[in-house]
Amino acid sequence: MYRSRYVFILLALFLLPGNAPAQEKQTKQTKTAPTKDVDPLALDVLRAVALPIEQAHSFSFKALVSEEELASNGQIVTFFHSVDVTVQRPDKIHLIFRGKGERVDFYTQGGTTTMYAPDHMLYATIPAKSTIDETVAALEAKGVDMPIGPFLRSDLYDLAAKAVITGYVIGRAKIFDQDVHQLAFSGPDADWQMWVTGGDAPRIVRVEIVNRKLDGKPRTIIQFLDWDLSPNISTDEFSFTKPANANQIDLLPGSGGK
Amino acid sequence: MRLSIALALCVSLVSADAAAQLGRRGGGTHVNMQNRSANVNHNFNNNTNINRNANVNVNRNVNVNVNNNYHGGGGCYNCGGYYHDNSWNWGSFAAGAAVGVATTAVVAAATRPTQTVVVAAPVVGTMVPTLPGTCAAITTPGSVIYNCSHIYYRPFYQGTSLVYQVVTYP
Repeated sequence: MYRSRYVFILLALFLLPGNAPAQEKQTKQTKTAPTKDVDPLALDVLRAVALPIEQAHSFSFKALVSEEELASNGQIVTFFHSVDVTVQRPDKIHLIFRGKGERVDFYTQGGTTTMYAPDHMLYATIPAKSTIDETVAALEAKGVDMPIGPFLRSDLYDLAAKAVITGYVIGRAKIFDQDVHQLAFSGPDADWQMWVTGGDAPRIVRVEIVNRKLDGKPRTIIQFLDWDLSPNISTDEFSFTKPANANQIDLLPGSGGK
Repeated sequence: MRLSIALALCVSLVSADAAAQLGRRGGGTHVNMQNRSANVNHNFNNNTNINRNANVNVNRNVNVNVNNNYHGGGGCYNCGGYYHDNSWNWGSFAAGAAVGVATTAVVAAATRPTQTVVVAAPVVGTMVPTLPGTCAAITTPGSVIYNCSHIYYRPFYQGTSLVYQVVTYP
């Protein structure tokens, strides 16, 4: 099985230049420059939920992620994982992935990212960067697919807003009895919706991204839980202490593993 | 600052809904709550651009048919990550009774040692997300492999996951 590494950049797709691959057929419709139509309120809401995250020195949340992929028979299949996120700016990250296989923890601080599977005590290390933004980008470049990556960055709003072509406030909605406001955006390659809470502490509840560039238009859905923008963080939250009998293994190039 | 943003958001969202319901927000095309689906579709279709971005990998196929998912002996069950066992009769999915019968048959075969089952060792290079059953760790210089009834697996990280690749005994 193969995993696309670029699920992470589904939001970043909005920032990419619009060069058409030569081998792709162009239609009359696609030759026309898209018409920008963005409700300023949609961006205001986006900013209101993004800025507290960007400005938080540390924060934590849990994400329930489903990712669709196209099977060789043309069928869409869905993969699930959860990830517990704790970060401290500028450079510390602790992620706990629970997916199809074994639990994997990511510890990032001090210029090193360690991946560690506690069940079999297997770890791998890769260099990290001096900021979370750079580290997330570097992990993505190594094929570490993290749909939650953009939500860790200090430029979440700019990342999402810069290349929005259309943006609308759909209105009030409920997600499983939770009152939310629904937004809809489109960009050159993807459509995405966001559901946020209102009130004095607006938070992202759910994001759904449809990648129009891929066959089958697979979706990535992230449900956010338990936002905490001032968490109590233990002193060893971001530290990996190698157990005596742990074994180091390699990181395969490219994406996959789900 | 945060409070003012929040208050502004609260006020603006309330007014937005009201405005949307009236369908009179200025500044171009907006979602009309009275007929929002039609408007949303209209806007999305007008702005589709499917010819951009060389970075998109259109070949991220999942090989549903590659893995043999029942490996007896030291192999693995459902090791490839996808069920592909004709005995499950997925083609009869709509006929619940047929699926149920097939499922029972497979379970029975898996639990009776004398039942004839197809046994095949996983091909070297096969990647699996978990080890099958009880395995013995063998520490090698710089790494570790697992002996699972004489099928050997080497662990790797791939993406955010730990995977095991079937290897020949080093």
